[in-house]
Amino acid sequence: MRFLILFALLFAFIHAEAQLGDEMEDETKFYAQTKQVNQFFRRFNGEENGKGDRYNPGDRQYRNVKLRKKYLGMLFDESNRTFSNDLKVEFAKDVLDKGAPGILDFHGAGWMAEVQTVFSVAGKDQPVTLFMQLEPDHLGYKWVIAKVYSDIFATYFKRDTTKVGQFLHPMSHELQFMNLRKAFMNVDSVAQFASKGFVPEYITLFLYEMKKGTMKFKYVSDVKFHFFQINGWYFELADFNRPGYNTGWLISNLVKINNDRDKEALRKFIYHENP
Amino acid sequence: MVHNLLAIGVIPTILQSGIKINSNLIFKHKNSNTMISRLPRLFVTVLLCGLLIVTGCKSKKKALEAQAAEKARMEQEAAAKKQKEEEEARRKREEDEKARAAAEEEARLKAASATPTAKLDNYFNAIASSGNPSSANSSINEALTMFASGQTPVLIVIAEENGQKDYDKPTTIQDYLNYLKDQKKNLNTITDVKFDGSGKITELELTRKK
Amino acid sequence: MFRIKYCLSILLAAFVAANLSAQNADISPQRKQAIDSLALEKVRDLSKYISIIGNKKTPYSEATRVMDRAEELFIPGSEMGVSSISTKEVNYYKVRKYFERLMALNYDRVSIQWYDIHYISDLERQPDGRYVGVVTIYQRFEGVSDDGLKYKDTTKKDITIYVERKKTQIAGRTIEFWDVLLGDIRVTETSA
Repeated sequence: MRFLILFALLFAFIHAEAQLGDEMEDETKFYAQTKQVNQFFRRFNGEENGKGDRYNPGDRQYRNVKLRKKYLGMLFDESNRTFSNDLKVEFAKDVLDKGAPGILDFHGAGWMAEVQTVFSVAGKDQPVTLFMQLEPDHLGYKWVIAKVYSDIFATYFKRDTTKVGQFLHPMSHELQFMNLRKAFMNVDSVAQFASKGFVPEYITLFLYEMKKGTMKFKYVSDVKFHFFQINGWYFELADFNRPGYNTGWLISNLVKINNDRDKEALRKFIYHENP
Repeated sequence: MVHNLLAIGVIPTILQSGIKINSNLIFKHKNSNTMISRLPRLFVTVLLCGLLIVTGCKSKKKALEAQAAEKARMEQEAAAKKQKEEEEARRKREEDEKARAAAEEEARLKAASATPTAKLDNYFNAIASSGNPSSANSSINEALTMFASGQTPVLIVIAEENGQKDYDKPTTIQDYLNYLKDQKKNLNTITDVKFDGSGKITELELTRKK
Repeated sequence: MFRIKYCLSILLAAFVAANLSAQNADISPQRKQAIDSLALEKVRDLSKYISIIGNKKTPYSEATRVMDRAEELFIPGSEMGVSSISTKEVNYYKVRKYFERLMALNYDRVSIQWYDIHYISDLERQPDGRYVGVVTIYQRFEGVSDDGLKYKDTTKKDITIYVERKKTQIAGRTIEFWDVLLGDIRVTETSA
């Protein structure tokens, strides 16, 4: 927070002069804002100066610990009270560890985008969540859809495995499974005849519905990012468009992960998958 | 003259005298001896009045003449002064004209003998800083005369390292000049110019100013 | 056999990684800086064109000519995605349509100014070899009507830039150059 104020004062001095027209306010808050996710990476890693000019490997300030410490102080959503200051300090300590500093890798695995979209389904607006990640392809990289979630897909496979329900009896094979005809008469309960371990991949449904034309894209309503790249930690990145200096792409959630099981549980939670 | 005589009460006196004279004459008719004895006085009075009138008129005339003369003199002086000023102005104009012509000739000679680079750079700056489209278009047309055609290629170097040049997308001189007009900025210096046999530019290389 | 296959897979993975790394290390920091500057200049060119198009004093024929020039800065199919603070919905327009809407705004006086500040992302390589980046700038818009109606906003513009190494023939010799084109633009209203 202190660094945020210093940052603001520094650029207030340099850039306080109003631009063209009376209504052009100073640019200090724009300099303070973490304007792009790319800028979040650079600030987190200590790879740029306060004006956004890049440091290169070999530059004295490149990934400098003091610089990174200052930046970390301004990369959290200050309005968020769900994680304590102690937790932030502990996180910073791990990130800035001299022996094994936590550096974010844009091209590395362990981070993904959660994209909230709105599609039109049978004339009605329907929220659909796309989970996307970066992957190498040919000469470069591209974003791909890894998973999809929507409430409308969840209802497709609704079934209660605790109850007995409908079933194909164990001697069905002797009749060449002629009871399949009756099983398929009620389309709503077809999911009951899938194996217990069946886990639907909604992305397949999504692609199928898109191909059929039953779903039409309308717009992206929100984007946030999930990071598992720092060993022992998870954090969420979201965009804050509001007055003041604590704006742009900021850490909106922080969780300490004690083991791989916790990590997997958190991942499933994010993906809306049953644990 | 009459007004002057009125002013000194001469005419009323004369009129009175005249009436008197007339009455005197009428009455003196009977008494001609009285009238005759008054004649010299009357004559003198009349004479004097006449003299006065004449003198007055003459004075007046003189005054007027003097005035006119003064006026004429003043007019003459003014005319002379004006003529002098006009001559002065004409002389100055001629001098200025000569100086301007000399400067133009010098500039023309200088331009003719100046490097094409400097001349072209002047055109670029003129177009980029032009206050109105017609003036810019005029400069564009003049600049184009230096080139083999409007499609003459223009290369812009954005960086150079170890002898290797990085270029912006090549353009034509016509497009580049219009770009200067629209954007009102000249970001490049001229670093290489190629000519054909008739002195027209066939290729232009610019380098981004640091 | 399995061991051979395993070793070959490792070698292949290493080759791909090295190849990608080498491609990214092709451009020195100084050349990257020059390319960044070139890209920023294209963005500034766009800002100048937008100011001319939005200016009510610009004659229609001149605005149309400038719209053509502005469109040439973009790759075909580029769009503007515009959202306001009040709604999450994003409206999408082809760039030409966006310029036409700008020209047709019902104000008597329009002022469009861009802040000095800009931010350029790293240039990342796409699968087809082209480099792609994003330039962020901020624009101040003010519109005034003769009846006193006034509207103003500040928007953040995230502008896609594509950088590609190309070749062309000039006077019989091959010239390599950096072709910089703009792409989709995301326009977000910032809060006051």
